[in-house]
Amino acid sequence: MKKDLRDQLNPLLRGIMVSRGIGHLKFLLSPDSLFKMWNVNRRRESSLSILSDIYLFLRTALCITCTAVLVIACGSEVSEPAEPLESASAPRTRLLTGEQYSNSIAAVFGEDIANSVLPPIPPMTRTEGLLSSGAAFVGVTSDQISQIQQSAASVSAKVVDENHRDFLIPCSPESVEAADGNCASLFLQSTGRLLTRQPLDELRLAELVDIANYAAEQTEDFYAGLALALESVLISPEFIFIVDQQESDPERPGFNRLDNYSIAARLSFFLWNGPPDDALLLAAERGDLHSEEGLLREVDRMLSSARLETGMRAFFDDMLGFDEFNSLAKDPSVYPMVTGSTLRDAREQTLRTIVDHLVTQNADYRDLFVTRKTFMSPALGVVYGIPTGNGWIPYEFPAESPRIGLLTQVSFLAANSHAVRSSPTLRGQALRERFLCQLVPDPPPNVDFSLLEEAEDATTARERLNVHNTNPSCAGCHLITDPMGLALENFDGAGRFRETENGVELDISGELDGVSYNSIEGLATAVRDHPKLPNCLVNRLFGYGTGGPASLQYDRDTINWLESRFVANEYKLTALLRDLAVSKAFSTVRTVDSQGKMGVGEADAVPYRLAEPDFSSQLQR
Amino acid sequence: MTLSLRRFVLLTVAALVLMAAIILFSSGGENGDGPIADHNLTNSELLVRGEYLVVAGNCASCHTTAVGEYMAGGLAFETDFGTIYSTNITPDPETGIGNWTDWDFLNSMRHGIRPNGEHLYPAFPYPAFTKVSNEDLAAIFAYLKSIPAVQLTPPENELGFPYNQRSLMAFWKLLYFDSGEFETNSEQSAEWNRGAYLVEALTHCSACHTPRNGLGAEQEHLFLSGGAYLDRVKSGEHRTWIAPNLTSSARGLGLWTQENVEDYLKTARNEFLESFGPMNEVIMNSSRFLSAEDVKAMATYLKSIPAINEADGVTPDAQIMGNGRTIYNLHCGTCHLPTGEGDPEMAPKLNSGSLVVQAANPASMLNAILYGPEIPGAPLEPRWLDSMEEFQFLLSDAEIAAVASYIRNSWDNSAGLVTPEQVAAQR
Repeated sequence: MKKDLRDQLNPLLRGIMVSRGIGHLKFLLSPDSLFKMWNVNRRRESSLSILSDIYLFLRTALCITCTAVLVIACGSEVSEPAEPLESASAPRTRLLTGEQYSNSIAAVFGEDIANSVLPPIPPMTRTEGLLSSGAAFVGVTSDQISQIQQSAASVSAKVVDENHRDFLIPCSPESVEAADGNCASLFLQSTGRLLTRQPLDELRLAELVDIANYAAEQTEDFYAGLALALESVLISPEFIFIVDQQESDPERPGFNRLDNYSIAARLSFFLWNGPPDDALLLAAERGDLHSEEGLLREVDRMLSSARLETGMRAFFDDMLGFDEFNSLAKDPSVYPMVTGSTLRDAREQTLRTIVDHLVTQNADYRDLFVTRKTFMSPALGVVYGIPTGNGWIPYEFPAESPRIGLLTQVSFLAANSHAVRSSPTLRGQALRERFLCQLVPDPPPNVDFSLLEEAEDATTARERLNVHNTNPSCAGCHLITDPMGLALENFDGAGRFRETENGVELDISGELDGVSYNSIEGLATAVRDHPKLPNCLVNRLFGYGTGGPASLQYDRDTINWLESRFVANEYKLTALLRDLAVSKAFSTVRTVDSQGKMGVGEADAVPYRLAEPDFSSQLQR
Repeated sequence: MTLSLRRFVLLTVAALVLMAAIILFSSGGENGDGPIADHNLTNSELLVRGEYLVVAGNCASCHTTAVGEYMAGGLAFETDFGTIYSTNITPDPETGIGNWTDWDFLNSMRHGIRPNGEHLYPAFPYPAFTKVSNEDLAAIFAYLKSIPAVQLTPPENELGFPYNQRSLMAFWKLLYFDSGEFETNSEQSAEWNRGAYLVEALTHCSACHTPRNGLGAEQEHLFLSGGAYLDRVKSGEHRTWIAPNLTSSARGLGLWTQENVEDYLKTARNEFLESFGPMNEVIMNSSRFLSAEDVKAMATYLKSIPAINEADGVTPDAQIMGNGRTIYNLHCGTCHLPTGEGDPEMAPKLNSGSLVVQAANPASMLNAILYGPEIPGAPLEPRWLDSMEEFQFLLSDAEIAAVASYIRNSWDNSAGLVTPEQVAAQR
């Protein structure tokens, strides 16, 4: 019997040893192969009964199944590389963004109070493609601190006013004209925990209660005292800044891990763009976020929450540079159909498209660039030339439509154009920088614009931009922007479709990094299939999630690993969010020691440099 | 075996052992009663001359560390055989050359021999210094004896067996070293001969620019056709560098005019190239201080060296060239321009005449791409608006190999394929 078994397994094992591939597995599992093996065994033991035949058939099938399981198990190990051993992220202290400030106020006190106050946060500098990454490098001036205090006072006053106090304050004072330490403590403890994203320690709580009591006694108003104590929480660094608190990682000597509350804050601002909810803080209090199981449980809960949409809208709004819409305007004499609401809706249309595609449908990220599904509003219908009813409705462009993917939506086309005309250069630059994470340098200071000005009489943008090809200094940069942007010249500066410009039929042929096309669909497909597209999203999400730009030096391997997971998960955003959120890189931070281990030490001192020798003066004479 | 045959074998073995012993224990040095050279210079004139020659020989770059005292040695040289440290050549009697006679100095320079008879390793370029004249040796020694003495013993060399056996250098010298002063070529001009003397002897260009064999000896038939050695890259680690072909090959100095060569030696830059990496030390510590006449003489001589053409590389296929072109346009073409012709304010030309681009071994070009070129810096005025960034973290081995292959095989270049493995070796 043992010999029979070995005889049956040997050809299989030999086959596996030779092929080591999944293709071979298909052969093993095919019905044909199963019957072939059965027949072989049957011929060997032709004298056996039908019962023996059945036994042999089942035994052969069992062998094949066991072997297949082994191959799959081995195969899965090979195809899914583990997270790099040195995986970690930079520790950050970052200012809340304006939206995070508003979301924090809304999460604790409600939308109406959040909407009544302008977030007192200074503008961020776009850093490595994201405004949110600039939050890790921004400073706060004394004027801005005054603004933060004014907003804090305004929020506090609203929280304790007669319209809100009954449902925002969990107790009533014994007298509204006197201090009530117990009630103040109850409110400040629960509210302070939510605002600072961790429980207040006893000393801090006592300080706040003292403030509330003292102010209540001075003003003979319990609520005025409570408002002052709340104001001091709202101007505290613990609220205004997201600080990565570290502790030694017992599992990875040389690395620090974030404490539970810092992991909670990273998770919530990453996935929800807002503060942790009560459940997440409770998980942090229990220490669950340091366990694989506990972390996974919370991440999955957050990913299934409706707040994920808020978080992803914020991320893509940032990644796509939609803050430009805050100051975007079109010349009404050229584009009379484009109003403020048109541009607002254009921004909204793209965000709706992205959230529906990536979160609701859980579809392939790359297909965002070739999808014809979107949403339509009345204001946009005018630009798209589509009659539509009131409100937002799902809409799908027909297969023959030139509208295909994000690049052909009004948001991309209008935002990356001039006020009076389209700009292939701006569109090409945006494509490179926003979606492929490639840098297009600024024009050199000695650039000569006279040739371009002389070309103002050119009929089409292609003719106008041709001057760049005649000047190598211009061609250097325009070569990486114009061919992509010219493929979108069928859309004017407002994003309306056109077949001609100044009566001349448009030539939209071009090339994107070795892929040639002569249609809008060709460009869309080239972008969809561009090898840098997935890596760019991973890079930006890594920066967004960890609170600062990814380091080329330290984070490259981690990002490549996340990209491989993204590819293996068929470019599903939610899977990528999950992988990143539960990764070691997300909850572990680098120390100076661990950076040294990564092979990056201090460079040697520069070589010796000889000073002017004595004989030089004699030679010069 | 007959008795006579046995006797013959024994005698032969004995003779060989005797010869080996003679070679091992003979120093081959010189000794004399008087000074090594007569001259009519005052002492101060002698010292000025000595300083000039020491600068021409670029002694300081090897005998002075970044944080050390002038000529006190201790600089590490990573070689294929181990680490060698430069010696203290200040006049300290215990740790330097304070107790040396001028004949001791001559023997070290001309014969590669220490005062105690030990052989020096050719990391000290005595195969070139042997040609320095006695008059110049006397001036150099006088100057070195005049500088401040520093008591410092450099670290011991770290060489594995058998390279740590100095006596074995006797065999090496027997095979590869001919001592003797430079001999004037009467068929050439005085300027050419001065240039040849400077290039072959004092400035020892061949120490880096001539390829070496497996035992570290320069291959004479490939004189100045390009060499490789280990030196520091910007990160502080040691990697292979190449010293380009200086012969008249189209991939060497063939496209450079005499003025181009002079400009480069005096100013570290010309219309084709700006110095980066280890050559900075040669120019900044040596050639820029030389007289215009000497620089002109060196250029005259260098331009006269017949072409030695490097082997053709493998031609990259269309896919690699296409990938390389894409990467070039994105990361290089905005400064070096799509035509590779460079921009006077942004970046040097790559399309022709770049010795680094055209070298058969792409090591130095890859170092520039991976780590960013370390340009000479002060006191030279900056030439470019921005310094070139490093790409070691931005691009993969395959991407750097593709873009390097594209540059090396586009326009007027034909230096051949670069492989990802070659890039990995430089990381």
